[in-house]
Amino acid sequence: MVTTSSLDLKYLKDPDVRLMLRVRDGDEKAFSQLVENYQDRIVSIFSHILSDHEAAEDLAQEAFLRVYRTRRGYQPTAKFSTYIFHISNNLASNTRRKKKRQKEVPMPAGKTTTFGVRPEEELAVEKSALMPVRQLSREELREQVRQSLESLSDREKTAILLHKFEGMSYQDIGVAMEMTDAAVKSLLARTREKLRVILEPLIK
Amino acid sequence: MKRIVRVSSDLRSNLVAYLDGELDEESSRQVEMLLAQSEVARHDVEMLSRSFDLLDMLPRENASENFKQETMASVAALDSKIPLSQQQWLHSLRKGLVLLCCVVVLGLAGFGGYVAGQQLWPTETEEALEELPLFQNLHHYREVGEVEFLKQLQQQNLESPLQGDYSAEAAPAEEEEQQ
Repeated sequence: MVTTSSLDLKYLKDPDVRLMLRVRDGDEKAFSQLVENYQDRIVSIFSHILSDHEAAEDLAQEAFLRVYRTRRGYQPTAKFSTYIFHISNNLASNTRRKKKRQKEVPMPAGKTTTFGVRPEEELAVEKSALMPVRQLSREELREQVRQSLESLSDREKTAILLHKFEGMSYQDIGVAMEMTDAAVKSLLARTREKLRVILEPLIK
Repeated sequence: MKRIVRVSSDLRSNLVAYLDGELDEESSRQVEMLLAQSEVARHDVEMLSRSFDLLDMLPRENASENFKQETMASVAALDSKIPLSQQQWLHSLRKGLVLLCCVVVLGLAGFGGYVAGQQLWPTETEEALEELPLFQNLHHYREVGEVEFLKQLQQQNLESPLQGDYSAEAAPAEEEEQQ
């Protein structure tokens, strides 16, 4: 049963919050729907942060399992996307800490990852096949952009990815990353400035 | 005519927030004034915007086809080995025990209150027994009439009719009345 006494009713408008409340009440189909809604988004963010697709899928699965394990105590105090990215950010932070402790050798920035290709990108490549010079230029540019992202710290990377690909507001990023709005503003300004310095020579 | 305006670090950080639509009205107005005056600022804003747009070139990696199935299988496995602390029946039992404890505490409190009440406030019968000597000597008091007279008797060291056992005296009086 949903108790709304201590809840902010505005979050109940979020359809994913309503799905999660059904999960809390034992509806497994609702959970399956949530996985479907968020799997690509979370795997994509983790892929960019970890530069490892397989590790990204493992971590994304762990994030979903954590959501499921803690479902009984769920209270809708934020949008569901903010909630799940908060969990994901914590998991990513823990993974980074573990890696540091184990003193693993980090993957070099320029190394090719296992990223796949989206259908629209396939289409773009097909079109560009008629213009070999332009295709090369585009691939080079993409590699430069990828490297610029790699040059960022994990926090900077997470913040910029949540903002760029999830369209999250500073406030939501703050909740997901446990930071104040002002700190998010400062972090994103610094990150964008770094990207500008790196990428400006590539912009014609 | 081009005007070169120095961009403070605060305003610089506001440029990004301005692009993201995260500034309040007053700060937005300041940034717009700066943009109107400074070509450097306009250039910075354009480069910030275009470099951010370049991130669209990054591939969006999707989950593999069997990701959902594997996740749901893990969930099913999780359900089959739910730790005792998360078992539903244990939650119900815990709630029941808490409720039972509340009932017991309330019952004990009620019983204690009843007993205390019995001790503090005597019943009508107890009050009547306590005042029995008064009733037994009522006819003496009526004859005396005034309290002042009793006090005078006490001052003269005469034995007060309030003291001692008057039941023996009362009995002959009653007998006389019957005769």
